[in-house]
Amino acid sequence: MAENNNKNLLEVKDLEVSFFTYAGEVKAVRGISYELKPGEVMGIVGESGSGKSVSSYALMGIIPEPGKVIGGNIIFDGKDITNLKEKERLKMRGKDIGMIFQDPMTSLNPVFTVGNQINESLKKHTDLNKEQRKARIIELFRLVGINQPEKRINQYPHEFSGGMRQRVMIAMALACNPKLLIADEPTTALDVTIQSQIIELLKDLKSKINMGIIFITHDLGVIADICDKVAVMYAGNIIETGSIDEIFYEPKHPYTWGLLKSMPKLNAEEHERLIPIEGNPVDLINPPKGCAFAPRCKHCMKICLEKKPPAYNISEGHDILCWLPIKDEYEREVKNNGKSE
Amino acid sequence: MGKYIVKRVGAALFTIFIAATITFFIMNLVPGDPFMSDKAPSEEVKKALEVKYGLDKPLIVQYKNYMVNLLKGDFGVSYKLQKNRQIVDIIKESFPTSAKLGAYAILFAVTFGIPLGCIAALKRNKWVDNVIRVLSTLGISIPGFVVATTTMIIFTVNLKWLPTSGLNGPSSYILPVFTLGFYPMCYIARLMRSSMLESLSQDYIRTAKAKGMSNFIITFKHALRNSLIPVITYLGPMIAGVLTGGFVVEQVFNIPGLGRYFVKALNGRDYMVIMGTTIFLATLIILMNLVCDLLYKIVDPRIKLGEE
Amino acid sequence: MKLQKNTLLSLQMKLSPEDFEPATKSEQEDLNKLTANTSYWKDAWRRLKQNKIAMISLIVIILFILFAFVGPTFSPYTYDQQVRGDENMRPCLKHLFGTDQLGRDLLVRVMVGSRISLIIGVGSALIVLVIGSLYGSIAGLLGGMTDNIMMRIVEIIYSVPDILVIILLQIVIKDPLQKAFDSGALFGGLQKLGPGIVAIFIVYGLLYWVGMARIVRGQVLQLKQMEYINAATALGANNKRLILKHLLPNCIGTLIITTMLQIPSAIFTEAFLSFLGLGVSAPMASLGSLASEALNGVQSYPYRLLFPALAISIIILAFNLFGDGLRDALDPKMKK
Repeated sequence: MAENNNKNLLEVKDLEVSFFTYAGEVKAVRGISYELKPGEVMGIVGESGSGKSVSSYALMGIIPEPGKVIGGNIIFDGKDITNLKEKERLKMRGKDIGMIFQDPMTSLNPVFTVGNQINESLKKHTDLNKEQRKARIIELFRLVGINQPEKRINQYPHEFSGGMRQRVMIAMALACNPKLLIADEPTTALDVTIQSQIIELLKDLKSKINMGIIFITHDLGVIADICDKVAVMYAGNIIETGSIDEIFYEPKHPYTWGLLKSMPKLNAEEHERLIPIEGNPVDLINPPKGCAFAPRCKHCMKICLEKKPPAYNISEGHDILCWLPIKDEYEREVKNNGKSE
Repeated sequence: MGKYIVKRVGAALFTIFIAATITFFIMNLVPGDPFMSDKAPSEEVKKALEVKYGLDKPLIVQYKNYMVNLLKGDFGVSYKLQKNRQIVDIIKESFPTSAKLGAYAILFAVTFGIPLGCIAALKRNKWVDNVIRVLSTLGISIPGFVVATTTMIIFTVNLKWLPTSGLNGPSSYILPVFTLGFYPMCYIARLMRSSMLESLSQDYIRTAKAKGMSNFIITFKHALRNSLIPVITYLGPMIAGVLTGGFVVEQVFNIPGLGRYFVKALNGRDYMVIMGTTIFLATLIILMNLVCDLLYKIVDPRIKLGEE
Repeated sequence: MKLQKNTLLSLQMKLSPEDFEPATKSEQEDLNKLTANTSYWKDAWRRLKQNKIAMISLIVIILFILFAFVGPTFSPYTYDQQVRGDENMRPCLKHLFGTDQLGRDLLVRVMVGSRISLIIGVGSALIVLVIGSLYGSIAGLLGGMTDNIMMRIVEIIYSVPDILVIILLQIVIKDPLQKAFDSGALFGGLQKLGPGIVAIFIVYGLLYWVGMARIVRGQVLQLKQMEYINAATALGANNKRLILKHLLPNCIGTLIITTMLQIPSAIFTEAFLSFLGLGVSAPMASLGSLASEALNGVQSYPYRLLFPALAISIIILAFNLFGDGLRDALDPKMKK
């Protein structure tokens, strides 16, 4: 742990995001908090609808209509950017924070060359002149592993394969040397083999550039490959945070257990069934007053249905949102009190 | 790419050929003779006329002669409206007026339609959008002759602001151009609006936002270019519509163009003129469609030239 | 709320042992409510009802239909009745829309004209629907060379400028039809409409089905991929049953919208043709021909133009708006 890296790159405190639709207020993110150090890779895992993507849109300030941040703070590089004016945000996006998205097919504008699209970013955020920009783009292409960069700069997105397009996206996101890269399900739409290539690329970049990465996915396997720490989201809350080892080897939340158990195993027996998590996803317009996972939890207690659990700290960096450990601690306290009397 | 162009041109020429053939045979299906007028000519005179115009020969021969003449640019002569006048001369004389009117109308439609559609899309569901939407739907619902006649009544008869007929001087252009261009303008506005909304909801807009691009750049660089593509595909049908809409406008405003002449021929049953004008207009439309098709392929890089 | 370490729980919150008892299954299930699953049609109807503009248009259409079909029964005049002494009257109590130069009551003529427009609109749309669907589904189902040829034909028809062909065919068909009517060979009802209108029907049937055919073929091709077609074939159904029972019901949504939007287009075309003099024959009136007739005396009698113009604009607008609303309601990819 380097001492001079103690200052957090990113701090999110009690962030809340809601969508005000004609059907009602959809509470997509209901109070999440986490920290990220420079150079750290954090994974955010969850099912669709857990709020993982929305929370990262909030960081960039690009939550689509009709969504809004309705509570909490976001502190980036020491500065509170929660209520930043749009003009300031424009300077930050693409320059200090870069983002890559899920579907490289549709995320690139089909009528402009890839070179043009990266050039746009450089033009806005840097002082480089035309030749310098071109050189930079070629350098970026080499960095992400695109062959014949001089030729490919002038090609259109449809002339690249899926994996190549994602590399272009990564190059574009890195163009201005951002301090933070947000990767929103970057490999979900790709073949498994391509997927691993992209992951390797990101790992490679991670070692070369000291950049924080937030990696959003629903795939635990990918998380294990690249992340330093993990946050598990469910129904708009982070129900467990911890290091890679803690989450995979010492998970404490029933939902995390469910996730791990439901992963298909490569060496499974032929007729071994997949173990899904029973029940249905939460209605975010009328979320339950207690723990959101309670209706599907095998360890559900009466209090789980009544009150939302507070954040419980298991060890340094390992937090969970659950009544179970509190039950244990409570019972311990009662026993101690009983003994002392 | 060259191979593709050749293929498309070939297809267009083939279509023109088919159109001419269909027109010829349809016109010759009409019973009765082409010389019918108030004074019924005597049998001898009729026979002489038939020989003169080659109408005594079998239909297939007439067809062949007609097609060959067409290639030479000879559309035959008018039998009724202007006895013996070369149709190609009639076309040469009256078409430029129609063309001018049509060109201005298209310019008008594009100049106003595209911005209106953009504005409606950008201010979605606000009052500006609602007004534009209702008015443009109104615009494509009201038949051309209604617009023509109503504006004529209001502006020339009642208010006496503008001249009633003819095309002399700039003020006399205003109403005809507006009337002719009104429908396409509304259509383009609607098309532009839905096209912009579609583009603005695409993923690449999200990417552009994530790069820190301003709203201005996002709208006018990223979204607009993509949105124009469907509008370009509309150009072909629009030109056809303007040409045929011209018939009505020229009638109402008494403009001496090809359209007005055509309507006269229709009502007067001057078959040669009808045939010649139809083939001329059809050829024009088909060629314009071809140009727009090629244009479209150029604007959208996803379409590979050399492929259908 | 984050718990403080090293501080007793009991000091931070109020807890009791009952809180930690396991919850019962029923308590859990209460919260496991499924959101109601409505059917596609119910959902679409609900969306349509919410669309105020579409609902207003629907009401307008219904009123218009009543006006056109029921209206004339309330009028003391018929559309071709020339009332001597009542020529060229302005709108008044006796003739609500005024009269034309032959003393015919314009209100009833506009009503009858509206009737014609509606008949043409709906009739043409139906013709297009039937021919287009059959052609398109056959092409899509059979595939291969047949499909290829059928679609080439469609392309050729598509690329020939339709208005011109319509005008030509109009002229050609009208006279023989007139002769056929005069000789009493065809049904009385059609005869009243006049050869112009029947000609329009025929022409529409010959030309405008191609758009529908393309759309239906596209749908059929999509549906062909689906599982139950394989199942039906396995059970021994022949192609004809496939078309009628399985494929077409599934494209109903698209068909409804396309057909609905054909109606204003057909009314538009008829008005255009009638205005040029190619539609109905006197004394029958269509809204287009009424407008055309009105042009002559328009400076002195502007109301003669106003009423048919208004009528036709309203009906086309109403159909367009309703069709738009229908499309929004039936299209599952609706963006809100």
